[in-house]
Amino acid sequence: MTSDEVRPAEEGQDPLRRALKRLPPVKAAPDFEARLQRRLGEPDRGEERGLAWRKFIPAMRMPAFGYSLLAIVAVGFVSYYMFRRTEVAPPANREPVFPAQPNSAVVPPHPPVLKQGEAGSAAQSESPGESPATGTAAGKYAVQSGARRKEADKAAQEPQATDGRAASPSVGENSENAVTARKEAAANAKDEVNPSPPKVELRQNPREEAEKSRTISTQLKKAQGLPPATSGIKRGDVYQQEFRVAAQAASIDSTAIRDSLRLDSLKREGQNRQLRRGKGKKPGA
Amino acid sequence: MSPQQTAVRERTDEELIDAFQRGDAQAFNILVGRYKDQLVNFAYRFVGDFDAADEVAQETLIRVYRKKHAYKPVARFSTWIYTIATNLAKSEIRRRRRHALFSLSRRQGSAGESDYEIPDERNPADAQAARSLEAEIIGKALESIPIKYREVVVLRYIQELSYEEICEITGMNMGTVKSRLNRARLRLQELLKDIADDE
Repeated sequence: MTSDEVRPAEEGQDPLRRALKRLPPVKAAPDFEARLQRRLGEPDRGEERGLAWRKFIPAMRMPAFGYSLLAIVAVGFVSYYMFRRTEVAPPANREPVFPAQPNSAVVPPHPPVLKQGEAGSAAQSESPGESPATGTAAGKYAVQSGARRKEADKAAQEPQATDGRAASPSVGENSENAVTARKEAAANAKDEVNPSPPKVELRQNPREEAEKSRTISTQLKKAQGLPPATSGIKRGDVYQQEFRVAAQAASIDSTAIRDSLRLDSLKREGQNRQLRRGKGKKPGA
Repeated sequence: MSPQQTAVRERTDEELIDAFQRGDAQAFNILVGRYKDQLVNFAYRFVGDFDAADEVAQETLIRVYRKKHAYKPVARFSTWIYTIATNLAKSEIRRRRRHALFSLSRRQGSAGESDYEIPDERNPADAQAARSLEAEIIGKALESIPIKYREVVVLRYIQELSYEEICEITGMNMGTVKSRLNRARLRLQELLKDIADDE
């Protein structure tokens, strides 16, 4: 194997080389070739099973962390895409359309609302001493009706895209008009295709309660700003009914809970005002 | 033996690997028969353990089998196969150092028997024992020197390869090979001073 002509001379002079050359040669075991053939056969099948996909990947050099970077980029892309998709859906689309069930009837508004509206009109008639010109009773119920008008507007606007009906009722309409608007909207929306009716059904009652509570809170806010001359209104009944509604809504919505607490405080304020003014009438009897 | 088999056996290593690259499996078997003892001996002198040397030799031939197309006829086949064996032996040494392995038995052949002939017939038992002891001492001395010196010593003094081949196998230039060989010789001479003096 050597091509060095100096080798024999070096061997004669170098005892170390002679000693190393005298080392007994080590031979392979008798079953060396058999074991080799066995090992050559087994890994081939394993490679075919596990690495067959590598045939489709061209041989290329990649840094050690290349696959890790690719994995991170892929995860980031998927996460970004998922978050973008959740942001794309507008909140309005998720809100259920009230009258969306073709089979089931529209859940009517909560009776207190009706009663409230009716009671408001009754209270209005029960207080003849109050001058409608001053707008005390009308003022109060105008506020209420104005809030309900907003509800009716909402209910009417939702199906408005389909039927194009006017969404804003006239001033002075009570909650009955809002309910009517909802029913009509429900009837119109029956013609629409609703891909998920059960969801609308489930959400309807809580949504109504939430809207009621918001209505009440709006009314209460406006009531705070009323002048003292409006004290002639029977606030007791109004507060009672409103409290009932708020208490019912509070169980469903945290907003309703807050509103009920606010209602209590306003009630107490009203009582204190009356006491300060020296009037005998005490609400809440 | 058929004339065809005779012709096959007389072919050079380069011709055999070329035939193997073209699909002749018998050519590979011939190469295995030619190089298995050399590889085991080289690996044993390098690593110092027979089982590890056997594993290195097997792995070398497996790589030759799988990477047959990686060989280019620009260099000798022996250079290519010894390059693979040297790298695997170095890896084995590093692995054994990390795990601090040691062999329970230092065998020189199969079933713990030595396969060398006994030259001295005056006292066979004593001569055999002396040779065995000398081989063991030299083996320990080889294991004590650094790997970079050990590889050139084994390739040059034991495997008897040329300087050119050692340069191709190790990837070093001629001056580096000779320098390392000289330093390795000096270290071994110190360690084997007693044996050399007996000569």
